[in-house]
Amino acid sequence: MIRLDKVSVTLGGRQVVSEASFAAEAGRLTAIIGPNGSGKTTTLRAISGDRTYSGHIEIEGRDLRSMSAAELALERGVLQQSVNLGFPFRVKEILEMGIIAGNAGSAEEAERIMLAALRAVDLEGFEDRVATALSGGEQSRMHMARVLCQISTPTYNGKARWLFLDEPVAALDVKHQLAIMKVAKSFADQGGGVLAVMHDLNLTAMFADHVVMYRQGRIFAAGTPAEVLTPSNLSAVYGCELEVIRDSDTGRIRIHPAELVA
Amino acid sequence: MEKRENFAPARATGGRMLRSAASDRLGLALLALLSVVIFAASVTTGASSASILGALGSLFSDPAGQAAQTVVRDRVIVFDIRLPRALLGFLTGAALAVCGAVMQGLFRNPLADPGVVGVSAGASLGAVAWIVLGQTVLAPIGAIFGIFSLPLAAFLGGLLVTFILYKLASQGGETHIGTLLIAGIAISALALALTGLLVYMADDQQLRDITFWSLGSLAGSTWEKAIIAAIVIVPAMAVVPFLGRGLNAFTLGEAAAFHMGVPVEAFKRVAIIMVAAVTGVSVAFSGGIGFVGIIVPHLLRLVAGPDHRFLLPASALLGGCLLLAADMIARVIVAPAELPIGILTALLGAPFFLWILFRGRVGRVM
Repeated sequence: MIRLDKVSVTLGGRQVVSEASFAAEAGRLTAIIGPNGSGKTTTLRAISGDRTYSGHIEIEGRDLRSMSAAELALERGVLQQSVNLGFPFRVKEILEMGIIAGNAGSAEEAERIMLAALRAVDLEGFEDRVATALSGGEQSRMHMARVLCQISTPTYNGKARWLFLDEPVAALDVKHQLAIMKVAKSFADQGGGVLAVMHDLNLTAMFADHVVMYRQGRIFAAGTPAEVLTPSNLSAVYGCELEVIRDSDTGRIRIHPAELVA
Repeated sequence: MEKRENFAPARATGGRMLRSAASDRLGLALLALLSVVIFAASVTTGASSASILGALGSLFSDPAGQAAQTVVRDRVIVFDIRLPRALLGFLTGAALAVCGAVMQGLFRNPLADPGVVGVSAGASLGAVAWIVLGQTVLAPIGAIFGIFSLPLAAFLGGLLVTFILYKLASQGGETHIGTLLIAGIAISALALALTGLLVYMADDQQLRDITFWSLGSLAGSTWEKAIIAAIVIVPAMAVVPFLGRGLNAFTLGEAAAFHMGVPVEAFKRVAIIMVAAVTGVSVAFSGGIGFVGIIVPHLLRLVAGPDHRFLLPASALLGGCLLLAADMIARVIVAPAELPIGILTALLGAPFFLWILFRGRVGRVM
């Protein structure tokens, strides 16, 4: 479980996250949603260990501040919004960095993990490509594969491991959006934990087990997608009218802009 | 029992994803062999006809008469002049190339170099300050350190700049690479301005000394210098293999490196101090030898890719080879005089660098 207790983050003299408290449980995909600048990514960065914060963050029962970089690397993988490559590494070399960070056992095991990760993000056959020559979406999937090489199993020594994903599908086409969300979902279904910053409300409704909704640095609502994704919450947070359609047979939620373009 | 061998190495044959340790070892072995050959050639080559075999032979037999004089001369030339020079040259070349590779990895920029963060400028300021003020203001210090005052001044200048830089760029326990780079440019400019002021004050003899020191040369090599350089450079080179994995992760940015388990702050501290010490000592003993730190890692990346686990040790070996080869040319091209080696590395290095930049536009390097 990831537990935040009154976490605040100040950047450039401005409090970007104010007293955020929530818990994300293993075995579930927890989505953090909210408009631009509402503190989603900053919260994820604080949990990733990248931002100084006040308050308390706990990962699987341990205080985040007491954990070393190496301990954290075995516990959680982080997919950043964007990564700028300094040198033209090949795809397989980038994946190997994840393998090394995650302490895979034998070389055979490492090969198996790397091939499985490439397959999971639909980049089979890309291993010898130069990473800097890939498209934005392909690079995003490659980094997802690297994270999967680092956190190759949803649990480790009986404890859940975590994927922290910052807008994992923002750069992707619709097919790969679904593919990556399915990978994350199945990681959670196998006992791992997933914490994902999301913009796409329909994908959030489709895949999230738990939704934390931010507004202006504070948590506005939290609960199941059905509880959180209501027309009144959405219009209060995003400042535009959205229509929420609930399929009475499947219970699935679809979200549209309420106003039609003339 | 023998059959076991056939089943065991699945990892050697089956894998195509992981970087092959076997081919890395082969590459390093070839470079090591090249190093030995160039080192031997460097000890054998020179303006004098001194023979390494004759000198070695004299260790085991005791010739008499005319032969004895030649042998003693050869022994002096080989053991007291060429050997320390080759040693210092190899160490300096290795140090410059590795510092270049480490800085480039840290700054995620293939053009970074100790010259960029101001370490070299600081070292130069120290040296010029000594040349101009050594006989007057700083004379008491000269009385203590004697002929080592110049290298010591250069070393301290480099170290001082690094210290100031580090204080400027690291606030709240974090070192910001961008700030470090910009501060490096500003401090370089300041050091250059102060150097200029000293040059303005210098007399004709001092100007000549400054010019020759700044051109860079291994001509003044002695056993004392080689040993002092070894005391600083050899332990630093021993740290290098442990930086490879971290520098690879740094390629994806500091945050990603931290996410992958690199203790980022401690890592930067070790890398920066290593670069300061090693650059200081090499600039101190051999002056301004440029381009080794940029050319060598570039060349290796072109051939073997950017993986620092191979790049760092390979840079050390190739850097040593390159500087020794340049020194050999510098010694024989205008024999019995010799060309300052810094002129040679710049003359060969700069066009090569431009060529790499040009190729890099279409290839994999940039």
